[in-house]
Parts: sequence; C-alpha cells; structure tokens
Amino acid sequence: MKLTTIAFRNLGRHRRRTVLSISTITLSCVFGLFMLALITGMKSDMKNNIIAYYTGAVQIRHSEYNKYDYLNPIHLHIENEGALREELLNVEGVTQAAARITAGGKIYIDDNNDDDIPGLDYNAVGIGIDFAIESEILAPEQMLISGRLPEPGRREVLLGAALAEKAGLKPGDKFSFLTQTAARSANAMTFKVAGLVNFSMGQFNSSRFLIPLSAMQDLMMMPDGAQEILVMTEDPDKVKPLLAAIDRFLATRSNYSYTEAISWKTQGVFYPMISLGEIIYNYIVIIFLILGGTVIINTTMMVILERYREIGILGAMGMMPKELVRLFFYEGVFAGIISAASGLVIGSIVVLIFEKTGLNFGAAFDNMNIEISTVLRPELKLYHIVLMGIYTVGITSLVTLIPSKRAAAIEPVQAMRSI
Amino acid sequence: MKRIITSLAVGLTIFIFCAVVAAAQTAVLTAEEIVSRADDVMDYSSAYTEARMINTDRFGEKVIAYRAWSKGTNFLMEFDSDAEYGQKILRTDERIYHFFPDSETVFTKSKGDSVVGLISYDDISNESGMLDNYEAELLGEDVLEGTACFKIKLKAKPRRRVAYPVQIVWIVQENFVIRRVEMFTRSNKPLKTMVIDEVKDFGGSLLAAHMLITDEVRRGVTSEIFIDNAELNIDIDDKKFTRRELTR
Repeated sequence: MKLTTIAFRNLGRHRRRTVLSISTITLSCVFGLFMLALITGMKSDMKNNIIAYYTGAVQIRHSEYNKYDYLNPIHLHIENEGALREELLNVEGVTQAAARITAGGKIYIDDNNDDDIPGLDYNAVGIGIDFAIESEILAPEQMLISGRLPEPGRREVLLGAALAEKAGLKPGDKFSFLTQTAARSANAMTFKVAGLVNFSMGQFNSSRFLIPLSAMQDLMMMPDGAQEILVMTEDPDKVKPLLAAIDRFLATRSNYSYTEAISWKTQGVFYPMISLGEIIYNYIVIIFLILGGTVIINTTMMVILERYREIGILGAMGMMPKELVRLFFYEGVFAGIISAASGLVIGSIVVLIFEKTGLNFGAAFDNMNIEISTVLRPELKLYHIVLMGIYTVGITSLVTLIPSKRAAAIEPVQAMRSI
Repeated sequence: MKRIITSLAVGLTIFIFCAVVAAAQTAVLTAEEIVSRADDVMDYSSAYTEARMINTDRFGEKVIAYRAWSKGTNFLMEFDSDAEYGQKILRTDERIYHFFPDSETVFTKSKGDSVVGLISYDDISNESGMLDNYEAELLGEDVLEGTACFKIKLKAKPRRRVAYPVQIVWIVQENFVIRRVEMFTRSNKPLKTMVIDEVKDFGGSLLAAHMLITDEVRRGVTSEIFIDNAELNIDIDDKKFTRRELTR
C-alpha cells in the first residue's frame, strides 16, 4: 500500500482529534486571509483617498508651498489655472486636470445681526472645486445625501454631514465663512447650503465643505487662480512616466517656472507606513499559522505515542525511518490541504461579505488626520488565496517533521517489547 | 561789557532755575504720575485719522490704508486698501465687531484676535488708561537716541485680561510722550517691541505719527504705521459707532 494512502486513512482513525487540528488551522487560515485582505483594502482605500481628496495622480503647486505649508501660504498660488489645465490635457497620459483651492477658517452663524448676542463659530475648511470636472475625481454627486449640487458661480456649498450636524445647518440655511485670502488679508463671504454630503473620510465629514471654484476664487481674491492642480491618469500606480512628462512640459513653460509637480506616492505620511504594514502583516499571518501548527505538533506527538507499538511493527516489517517521517509528513500535508481548502473557502466568504458591507469605524476616525475612510472594506486578491494556501499547507506539513523525527528514532525491538 | 555780563548772569540764573525746577519736578514724580501724564499727553475727546500700515514678513510687504474715528471708548476703522476695501471694525464698550462687505453676518471678535499684521483688535481699540490695567514701577532713567526718558515697568493687575501682561515703557522726560514699549508674556518672554519715532501736534494735541512694531517671536515680522492726517477733538455723531451703521 502506498504511503500516501496510509497517511490519508490515518487521518480518519481519530476523527475528533483530526477535526480539532484541522479546525485550528482552518481558523488561522480564515484569520490570515481576512488580515491580508483588510490591509490590502486599507492600502487601496488610502491610495484612492490621497488621489481623490488631496493630490490627484500628480499635484502641481507653487514650488515654495510645501516649504511654508505651516504658515498657510495661500498667496503662493498658480495663476491662469484655466490655461494651464487646458495645456495639461495635451500632455501624454493626462486624462483630466482639476483646479482646487483649499482654505481653513471659521464658519459663523448669527441669525440676527441687530442684536448684541454673538453668533456661533466652528472651525472648518472650504474646498473650491469645479463640480463638472470633479465628477470624475471627487465625485461629489455620489456623496450627496440631501439637497442638490451647488450651481456654478453661485455662493452655494455642499456641507459635510457631520459638520452640518455640529453647526445645526441644513439645506437652505446660510452661514458666513471667514478666512485668509491670497492678498494676505482676511475676508468673509456668506454661503447658502445647497446640500449635505457624506464624505468617505471622517475628518472631511466633520470639517469640510465644497464650494464652486469661481466663488472660492472671489472669496480668496484669487481671480483665475488655484492653489493646486490635480492631474489624473488611467493607472495612478504607473505615475512615473506621467510625472516625467509633466516635468518636461512645465520646463518648457517659463510662465509656470514657479510651479512643481509632485507624485501622489510621495504625499502623505501614512501610505508608506501602510505599505510597510502590508509586509508586516505577512509575517503576522505566518506567526499565527505557526501557532496553529503547534496543535499539529501536539497531535502528531500524541499519535506517535499511541502508535508506538505499531511503529515498532512497521519497522520490524522493514519500513525505513525515512518512510516513517514521510508517513507523518503526508498526514500533515493532507491536514494542511483540507485546512487550507476549508479556510480559504470560509475566509473568502467572510471577506466577500465584509467587502460588501464594510467595517464601519464610525466617529473613531473623525479627528484623525489620516487618509483613511470611516468604512473600511477588505479587498480579496488572487495572490492572497495563493499565499494563504502555500502558508497553510507548507507550515502544517513542515511542523510534522519535528515530532516525526522521534518516530524515526524508535527501535523496533524496544517497541515490540512493549506488546 | 557790563551789559553783556549782566545779561549772561540773568540768562544763567534763569537757566539754572529752570533746570532746578525741572529736576525737582521729575525727581518727585512717582511711576503712576509719570504714566498718568503720558496718558494725558495723548488724550483727546474724539479723533479722525487717515493712516497707512505696512506689514512686513518673510513673504514681503503689504500696505493697508484705513480711516479711523474715535470718541470716548468707541472706535471705528474703515479700510480703503484694495484687499480690505469696505471692511469695517467697530469697538463699543461691550464688543468688537468686524464687518465684511460680502458677508451678511457681522463677526464678533475677541480682543486678542489679529486684525492685520501684528495689530490685534485690542491694540487698535484700547482706550482705557494704562493705570486702569497695570501697576507701574519706575525702573530708573534711560537715554534713547539722546533723549532722556523714564523707564517704567507695567505689570498687569491681578485678574485683568490684557494682551501683554508685562510692558516696559520709555517715556520722554521733557514732554511725557511714549517713545518705546517692550511687551512681554507673564513669564517675561519678549513678544513685541514698539518704537514711536515721530509725534505730531494736531491742533494742540500730540499724536504718534509714525510707529514701528517688531515681532520678537517671528524674525523679520514688523508692522509700521504712518498717520497721514488727523483731526482731533472734533464733533462725531454717536450713531457712527453702532452695529447697525456697520452694514450701511
């Protein structure tokens, strides 16, 4: 009889124990698959948020802006943004270019100007966008939960739902926004709430509102100017050639020599961290499987003790120590295959469910300056399944080598004596 | 010759007498009296001024032009420069308001908030005397660019909310005009320095016509104020200092 056949049959000799061992490994496999899918989902979410909310694939700004970022240097802006955007659309790889102005300040609500009771104010950040162009980037229409989009050129805004709740504002209400302008002076303007949006990022939801770009240019005293231009491309992961093309284009335009182009990959602190996190998660998953594998070691050791005499007989009948090791190894391989198969099926189902429903972290992320969504969705990839399959079968099989060496060392005569 | 000697003798006597009187006057003055007289020197019932402010920081210069009216503790400032055109700041006994032409809401501000450059709402509208908020201590005498000055330390009285808890003020001995002010935190960390290097007589009252304020925290940040025109002790309608008038 073949060793593989014996090994497979041996799994059924103590079904309860085998089920227990396989269940432990299966659970480790499910957990590992979920962890890998979650970190991939987080990374993907962060990438999408950085691109949509902050930088595009490539961000064009005044070259000194980042240096003085801490001073809110709104006057360091791009002039003639319309002309620059049009020219950028002719650069190879550019699919869209959108101008934005972001300004922090206070929204102020006072129903009665004639009384002496001061109004209420809240810290907020306004983002001036071209709603038509941004339907391909930020997609505000998809985030709309009540009201409508602001009309172009009107002093209307889309308010983050949590900010609206905090300030007691609803569509149709008005508030004034006070900020620093590009002329390095203070200015305030009154806006009407056209609608409420549910930004995917909690921090945006509790502090941001969207204004038509032209109204923002008026408020900021930045006629035809923009703080930044977000350039989009088909595949943001392959941003290098696009960045090079934009650099070449800017080098030929002396009127934009004060600008610089920055890849989304170099923006933000957390994306490189989460990329590192993805590697760390792989190690964590392996550690979990090894921990699960201790059950296999334990079970195999018990099996060897139980089959002590049987091993002695097999040895006396001519089975070589190497074959004994292989027998237990095959048992581990079969346990690993069953565990991997069941773990991957169950794990995939769990991941797919959460991929649909998402994991809602609620207000926990509201005050965190991190480019991550409130609702996280694990993202299942084929390589997760392949990796977890290899990890599960590999580790489960390899750990059997530790106790099976003991089986190989059993002397047949000594084992027969114990009959 | 005899006449010359007599004239010299009389002149010398008068000079010595004046010097003695002046010395006696200054010698007996307390810190509170000096500060009180400095407050009185620039005291006027109402004023209208036209001024420019040049704010300098690492990004360059910015000029702000404004007109201001004051009467008692009321103060109104209206901006004329392009970037601020139409903005108004009103201080009444109770509050400080900032009106922006594109805003339907009039903003109520805190004293410590910055208006422009190094000037806070408190700076532009503080009408109360120094002794109302500070305890004065005479540190001695000092000479600033050849001018003899009293050097006085002002420390905020307990439970007074002031922008500068400690100030050292140089007051010219001759005319009790404030020449220099150094402003500190409660722990004596330097905040700002103000130098008044030109005082003009507008209809019998003195007014600082040029002053330079230097930020001691941020290097290279200054605010320079030039009073181009002023009319003091004039008749101003009280209605000008109402919140309703801001929006008109």
